Amino acid sequence: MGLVLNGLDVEQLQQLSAQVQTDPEAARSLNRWAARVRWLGGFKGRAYIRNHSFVVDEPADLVGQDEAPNAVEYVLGALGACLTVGFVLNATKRGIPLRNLEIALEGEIDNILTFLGLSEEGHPGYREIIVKAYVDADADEETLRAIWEETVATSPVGNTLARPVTLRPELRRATAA
Amino acid sequence: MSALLNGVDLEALQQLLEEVRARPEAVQPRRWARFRWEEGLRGRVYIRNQSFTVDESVDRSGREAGLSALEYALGALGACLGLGFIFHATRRGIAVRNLEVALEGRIENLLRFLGFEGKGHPGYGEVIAKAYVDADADEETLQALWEETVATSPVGNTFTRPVALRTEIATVSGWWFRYSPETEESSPGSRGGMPC
Repeated sequence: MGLVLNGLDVEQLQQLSAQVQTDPEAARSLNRWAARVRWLGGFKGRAYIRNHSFVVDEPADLVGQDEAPNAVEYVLGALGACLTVGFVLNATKRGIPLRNLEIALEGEIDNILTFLGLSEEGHPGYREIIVKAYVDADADEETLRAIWEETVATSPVGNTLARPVTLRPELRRATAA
Repeated sequence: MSALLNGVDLEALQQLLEEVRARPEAVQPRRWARFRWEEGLRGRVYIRNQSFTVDESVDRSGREAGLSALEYALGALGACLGLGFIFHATRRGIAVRNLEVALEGRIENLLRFLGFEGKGHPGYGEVIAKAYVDADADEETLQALWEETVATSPVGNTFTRPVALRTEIATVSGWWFRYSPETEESSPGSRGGMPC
């Protein structure tokens, strides 16, 4: 273990930067993140990200597991959870019983190297997210498709991602008491 | 308890929709989240009386409660900015003692989600992110670090730019769901060390 600063191994950090700079394959793998969300009944679903998962619910109810996913993965999970809740809401409003619902997501980062300060091209945010819903329900294909379209069009997280959000950042220097 | 459909209490749902229809101004259009850095690339998002850990290193635990999707998105943004700042500070050799990011997201019109007509969309229109930092560096240096963090934040850029959503739906029969995503093999990639 090399020099540790802020709890981080500085050498390891530099190694990583060097690795993605010289190995395009390593950089490419960092541009792609995947998540799945499965409906658990009511307005509850569980997002699956690598070997992690978390529950999304309106009033809370959660079984803890272990490690936490990273920020861009949480965004994918949030989108999947949002679409799941929306689909259940819209199907329920129309009186359609659902047996099972799962949403698989795959997001592609435009260029993660810009985050690392290693490139000026593109940006480090998601460029595209592919969302696939798998549903087992008592309704014909056409009806389910219409509900899905309505769900996507009215999804809070979906709209947040699909449209530009104004970000107002500020920083204040604080001192220890 | 009234009739359940898909695990949803229909009467309660109906009641909620009625209430919102009667008093749309009572729907709170804001969500809040705070992120506090703990150590290394680990920190905790605080939303309402709940919190969850965001960690890029291995073998960490902690997560308590389910939050709504919009809150997780806000928490993700805070974690990304907070850990991005730590990442940039660390690379420059600056010691950070404490860091917290407070977020407030403003949804344009949440009623659209519930199927009501109206102006605007049901996503966040604006997010305010305030970082509070205690570090061994002058104000100017910290402001420059923060600007760099915001400009190069993966979740930040995801929010500020339009993302192309490609959505599709497939109807499948019950057997499809016998397979649990929990059992899926995950590739042993080394993604540790990526703060966002």
